[in-house]
Amino acid sequence: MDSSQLLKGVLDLAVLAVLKERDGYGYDVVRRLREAGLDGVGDASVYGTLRRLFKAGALTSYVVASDEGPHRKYYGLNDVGRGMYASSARTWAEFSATMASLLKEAE
Amino acid sequence: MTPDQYAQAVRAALADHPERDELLEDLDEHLAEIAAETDQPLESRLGPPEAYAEELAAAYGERPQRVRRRRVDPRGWAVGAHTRLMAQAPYRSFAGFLPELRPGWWVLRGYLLAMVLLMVTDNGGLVPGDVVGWVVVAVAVWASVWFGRRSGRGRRAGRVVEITANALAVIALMAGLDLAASAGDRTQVAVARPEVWVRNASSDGVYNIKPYAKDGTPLTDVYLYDQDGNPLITHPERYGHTVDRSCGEPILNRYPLPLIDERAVPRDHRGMPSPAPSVCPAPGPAATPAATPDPAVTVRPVPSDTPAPSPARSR
Repeated sequence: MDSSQLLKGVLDLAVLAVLKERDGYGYDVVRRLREAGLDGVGDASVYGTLRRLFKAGALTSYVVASDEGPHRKYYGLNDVGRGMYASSARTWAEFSATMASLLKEAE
Repeated sequence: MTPDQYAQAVRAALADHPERDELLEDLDEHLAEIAAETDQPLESRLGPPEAYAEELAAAYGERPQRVRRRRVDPRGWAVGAHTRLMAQAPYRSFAGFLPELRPGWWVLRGYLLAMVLLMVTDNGGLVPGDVVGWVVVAVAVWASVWFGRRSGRGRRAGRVVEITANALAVIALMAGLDLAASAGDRTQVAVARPEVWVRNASSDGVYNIKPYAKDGTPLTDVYLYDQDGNPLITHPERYGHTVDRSCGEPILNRYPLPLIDERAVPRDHRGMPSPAPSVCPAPGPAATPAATPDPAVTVRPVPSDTPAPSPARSR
């Protein structure tokens, strides 16, 4: 099974989880997702997801001046985002538990 | 490709996205961040800008990816291709040279549109046929150049007119080239078409035919036809000889043909007699060849039934 297909369905939750841990700018989010083991995550997908979550009102953003590089636009969860994360995480936990028990029965 | 160029290509690829500006708000910073981290070119890191744009739009939502994939965006594609090609030095110099050709195109465009106009009024061709045509061409060229010089600060209507005029001119150019090419073909066909000439394997060319009877008597007023009944025609003019038309238009397949220079010189270079009729022949084709006996033969009485020898050949 291609994990990138699975990732599409849970990328929102993954991004929300990364930002719940701490605020981050676009490329930082990509890097942290990859460090967490989601190697197949696409830069454009993460960036597009960030912009969509921002548009949906789940994120705050602020610009931080950087000495060595370009200005960075940081994203963080607001209340809407935290609520979204909580409900998505619950859905995912139930879904993955269901899948896990299904696979266990099949063995 | 620099982050700027890459971002520009992504913007071009998403030209028709309804929320492009929102979506790409901090794309430049984002790409600069990636570029700053590694020396690897952006394309090898992120893939082609078009694919990046597509993935971005898919993740952003709003539009199903399929629709995006099928939609043809020639302008975005062209801009993207241009941006990528600008990285190549030869293309850069070529692109830099193009604006210098623009005035030339204006002149050509005026000419082409004038020829289209003349074609519509049934006066067309590749070159104007008369003074009016040249005046139309001059006016059109002037108008085209004037329009070209003032476009650029153009309004939308001006752009539409310019694009239409350019497209029409390009079509006219293609049609004109096609016309010129096919005209060239026609000329070649006319030259190459085999004419039914009388040919002789043992000489360079045949411009007259001198028939002789079995006994060596030169024959005159012999009508020659090919197997299909078509008159056999020679072309003395092509060999520098002139058909004698003093008796009116001669029948061209009645041989020997009366040729003016042959009358002046009764014998040709082979020493053969040139039996041209001394009087104008009766008009109208004779159904049967009439053999006029050589005087040398006829003065001699023929006392017996044995055929006379051929004295004409004995000299």
